[in-house]
Amino acid sequence: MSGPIAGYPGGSKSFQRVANLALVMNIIRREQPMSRTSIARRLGLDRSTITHITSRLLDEGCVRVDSEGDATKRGGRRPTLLAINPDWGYTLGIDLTPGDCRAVAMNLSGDLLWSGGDPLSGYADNPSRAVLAAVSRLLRSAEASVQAASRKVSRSPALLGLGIAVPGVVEPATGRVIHSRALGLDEYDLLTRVTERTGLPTIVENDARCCAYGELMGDHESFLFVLGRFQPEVGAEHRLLKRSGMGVGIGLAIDGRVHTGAHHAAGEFRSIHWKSGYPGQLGLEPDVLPRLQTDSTVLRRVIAEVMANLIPVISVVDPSAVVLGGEFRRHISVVETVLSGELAGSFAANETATWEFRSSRHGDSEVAAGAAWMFIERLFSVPLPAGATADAEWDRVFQRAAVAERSA
Amino acid sequence: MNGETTIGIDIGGSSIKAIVLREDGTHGELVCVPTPADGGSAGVIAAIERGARTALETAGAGRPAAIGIGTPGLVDDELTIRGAAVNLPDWEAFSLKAVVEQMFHVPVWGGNDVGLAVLGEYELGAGTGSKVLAGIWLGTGIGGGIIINGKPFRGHNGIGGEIGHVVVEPDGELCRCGSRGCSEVYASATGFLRLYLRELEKQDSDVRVPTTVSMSGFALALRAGRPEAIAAHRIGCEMLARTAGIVLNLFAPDRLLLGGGVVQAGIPLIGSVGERLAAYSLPACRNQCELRLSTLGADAGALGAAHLARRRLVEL
Repeated sequence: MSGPIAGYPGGSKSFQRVANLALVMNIIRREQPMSRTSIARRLGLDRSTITHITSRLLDEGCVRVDSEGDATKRGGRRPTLLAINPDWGYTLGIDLTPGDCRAVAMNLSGDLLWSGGDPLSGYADNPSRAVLAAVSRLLRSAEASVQAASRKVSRSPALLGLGIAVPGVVEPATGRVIHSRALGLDEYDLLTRVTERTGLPTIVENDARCCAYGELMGDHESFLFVLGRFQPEVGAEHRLLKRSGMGVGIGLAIDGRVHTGAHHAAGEFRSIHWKSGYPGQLGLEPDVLPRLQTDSTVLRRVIAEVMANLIPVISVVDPSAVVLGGEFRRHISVVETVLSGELAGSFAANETATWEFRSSRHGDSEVAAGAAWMFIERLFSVPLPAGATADAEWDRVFQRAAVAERSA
Repeated sequence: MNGETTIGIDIGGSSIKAIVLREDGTHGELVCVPTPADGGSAGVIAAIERGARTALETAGAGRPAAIGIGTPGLVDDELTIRGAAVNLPDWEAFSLKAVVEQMFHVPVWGGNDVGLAVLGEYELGAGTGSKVLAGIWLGTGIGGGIIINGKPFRGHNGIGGEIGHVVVEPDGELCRCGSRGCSEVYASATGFLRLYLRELEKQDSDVRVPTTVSMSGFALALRAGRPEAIAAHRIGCEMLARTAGIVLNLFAPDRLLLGGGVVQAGIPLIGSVGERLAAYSLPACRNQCELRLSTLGADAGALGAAHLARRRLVEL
């Protein structure tokens, strides 16, 4: 447990302050309830530094006094044990997808506070405007519902930030959508547009990687998350909303961490049967694709093609589990039939591997819940000196909580 | 003082290689001992001891602090070699770790030979400074290794990165593993030579087709522009690009290394594989990844094993 923390690199004074704060929050979350002395010992930091940081955290309200520990053998004072205050704040995860955007509000422990949906209206005329309007509407619904639900308590939790999941290639460091066929967005600066509108710390990520965050929720597991979603057939003017293609994404978790690759592009999928000029990622003939949702034999062909492509991936990754999301989860019986039928012999080379097939833990909310948890996970992770995810820093979140407090 | 000196040993089907890694990071000469074809596992173990002791003598080093061993096939932490992918004579399932520890009275660690060769490149060769490093090694079979933020990726069952039996040609040719169309059927050293022989057999000529051909013979034919060699090379590179595409899309490395016998024989790969990658990997994954050849050659596996031993000593 002490490995990644012990080797933590130093940096500028202000960076060190930010990093120390994240280190303290991280260790409290992992080992709570915890005394100041044990925090100092575990992190190898001065007791005075820890006292300074924890008094700020107690003032802010994100940490609370949990209980008193046992007195020392020599009869000294009983230490105060600190724990995360899960209801201090919450994050909103938004799954941006044409036809049915979903959102989930989650507190710092990962408890679900609210979930809702939005049809993403006006998408056909102007995708970027429709996306921003949907984010605003979901935000208002979430804030109103969480406030109404917490009326009885003295202080309602503050909305700390947004996690936005996008079907397509995104650049999480800048929050740019490089290409999203499903949303009809190309080279679109989603993060900047959303923060201009909402003022909220925001992280934009690929939808399958969000699912991997949600599936982990603090577990130390290595798995492959496979997300399949019907996609609209997008005409030149984004006017067609007929769902006809299938978007496939892979979220890879290695030893309890989501693998993003050297440049945040890990987990891309393209079938070996794909041909130049085919829309999407599969090798299914373009004229057959429109029947995907209405013809079960076409769906079965798609599932068989994806699974056949997945088998080599499984043998390279050697995961403990393969987690199915989206259409693969909804049609898990077809997946099982395909694997035990035409693909039964394909694992011959990998007979020593043991792994389980399962459905994602959040069901229909898998993408939105994953996006909400991703924000929390990034918040608690220790920033790296270069390329720190500034949008999930405690300082920004404290500012946000203070704004929420004043407006309440 | 040689308290932190380690030995790295790379066990192969034809030779056993050993190298000494000194405390200051410099290393001795690579020592090669032929893998005895008879004498069973006892003969191989005796050759391991001989290789290690010769490496210590030539480097002028005393007792090592630890030993690292790379072996072909699937290995666990006890260095028990599993699976059928092993070209070692009469090799039974036993703990090689326990045997070598008893022999030298120092801790022994190990892993898959290709995984350790990629680690060697990461520490001292073409992989230094890479954030996510992937390696595909083309030898008798195909092996793979991935290093993420300096840490070798092993997978849940310790066989992560096994790339040789990825199916790159649906309903393709039969592999020794029982599947069809595995990458190593086409793009390993054995695969390239088999493709070349087949192309030679296709020719309607009076010249007698040889029954075997060597890697250097293939390299010469390729340089001479022999159409059979060019055709075989094209198919092998196509299948290698498909294999590399899977690794690129999945792990998004910033560097992909090619190594092993095919690279050491000087078969040109970077250009041919690079231009075919566009069909099998997405731009976001491909554009940020540099394709390079291994620079440590035959030393990579033994050096990686010596570095593994050094890393584990520090962790103790």
